[in-house]
Amino acid sequence: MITLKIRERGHMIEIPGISPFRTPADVNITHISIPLAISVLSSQGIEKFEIVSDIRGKEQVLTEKDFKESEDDNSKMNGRLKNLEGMLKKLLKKEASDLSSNQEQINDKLEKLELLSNAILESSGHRPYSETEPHIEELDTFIPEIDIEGITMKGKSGKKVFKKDEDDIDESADLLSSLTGGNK
Amino acid sequence: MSDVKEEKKNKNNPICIGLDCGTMHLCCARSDSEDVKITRNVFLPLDKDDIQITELSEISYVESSDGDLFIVGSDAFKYANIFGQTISRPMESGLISPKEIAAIDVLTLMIKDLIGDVKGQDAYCSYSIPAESIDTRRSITYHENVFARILGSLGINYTSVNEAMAIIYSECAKEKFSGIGISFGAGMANVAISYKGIEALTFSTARAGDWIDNNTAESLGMVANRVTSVKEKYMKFSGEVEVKNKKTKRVLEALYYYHKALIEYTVKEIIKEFDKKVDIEVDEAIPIVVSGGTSMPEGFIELFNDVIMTYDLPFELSEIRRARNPLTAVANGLLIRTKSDVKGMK
Repeated sequence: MITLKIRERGHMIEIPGISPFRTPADVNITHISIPLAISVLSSQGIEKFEIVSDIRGKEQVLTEKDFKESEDDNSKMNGRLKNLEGMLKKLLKKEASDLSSNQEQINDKLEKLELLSNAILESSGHRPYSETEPHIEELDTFIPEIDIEGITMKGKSGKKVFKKDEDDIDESADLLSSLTGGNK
Repeated sequence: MSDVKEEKKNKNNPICIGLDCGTMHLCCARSDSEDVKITRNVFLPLDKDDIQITELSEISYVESSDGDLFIVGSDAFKYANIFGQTISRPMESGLISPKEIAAIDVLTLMIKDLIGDVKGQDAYCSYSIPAESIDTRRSITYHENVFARILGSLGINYTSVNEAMAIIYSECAKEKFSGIGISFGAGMANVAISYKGIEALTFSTARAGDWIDNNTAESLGMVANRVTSVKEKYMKFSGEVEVKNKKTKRVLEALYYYHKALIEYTVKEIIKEFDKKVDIEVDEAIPIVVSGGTSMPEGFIELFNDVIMTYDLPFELSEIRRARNPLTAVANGLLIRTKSDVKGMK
């Protein structure tokens, strides 16, 4: 049997699972949760109590001090948890900054890719004829070299053919040239 | 002496080329030929043992010195079905596919074959590029430079030109190149707003023919290739559809809804971008010219007209018309631009 003993007078205690009682009192709490009983007592400001367990004639007495120690343990535990939380926060912050630095690296690489791929225009034998085309100074390593040596197109051509209106094209080109001044 | 004369003649009359680099088709117009040539921008890598030499004489293919074999163009589709393989596309979503780097050599040969011989002649080419997309983050830089490299390797001088502007050059001479050009291709929809030949706004969206096919296929639990085939065979928005098969009818129904959704999305984006970015005062009514393979089905323009009429436009619209040949309009416009540029150089 487990008995809760409270000597302080004048308290009305209501612990879920047993009938309400007035102190001083010795109450059987064998069938209810001890942590629940303790939390009810602490919520009512009762600091002095004993919990006596008598199992097969072997008596063990726990006082409020025993539970205070465990509260201290809890506060230690809380402290540790707070430390852990702090460490996790630092870790997450670090990962976030790593991510943003990765993003920067990707952006840098993309910029380089843009510059380097543009370099083809300079490196190839034939150049853009329009001044609006990008001019590049660095050599490109991203766009593969075109090597059609040893590759041939064979067989019957599967192309469709349409006729175009030569006069219409010439007239349009003249008009466009006069409107825009030719090479833009 | 005759060589010198010939060289002088070439210098004075350089070859002008317009090259439309589309996701589904490559199309080329040359100043010294009355033909505009078009080929499918697809290929199929094959094992040499899978095919007889006699069969090869009937198709277009690329063979490497290592024995690699690639069937190119329309034949690639046919043989992909026979061998149960998936065709390779050098481009996806309107841009050079980063997955198909090995295909650049094949693409180079396809372009070389399409353009034809320019050896020893001064050649200038405008090639099409899409505008930066407003709904994806893919850059066009790589695409632009790969084609620059290909043309450079073929000994051709080049410049890149926006695909939708090319439609304006091809179709809007009577409006002095003022108008809105829309190219509904396979990978992208490209839009250009031009005022007297000057680009006022260009943008692209990642919604076009492939978007329609993929969404229809997903909705009906089909393969996208099959949807494309039904679309190309039966799709039309006006008149009676002569289809009895229930499943095909269902595909056509879904295709109709996705075409309508595509047009609505594009119109909304045009209005949004126009309001946001066009500074010039357009004081006259301008036309919308629609082009590209996705606009080919009969009744597309009428559907476009029905949709756009439900919106309040920030410009006065004179008419909506289809390019005279939606498959060749871009190449035609690019040729006009090259000729205009070359004229300016003289």
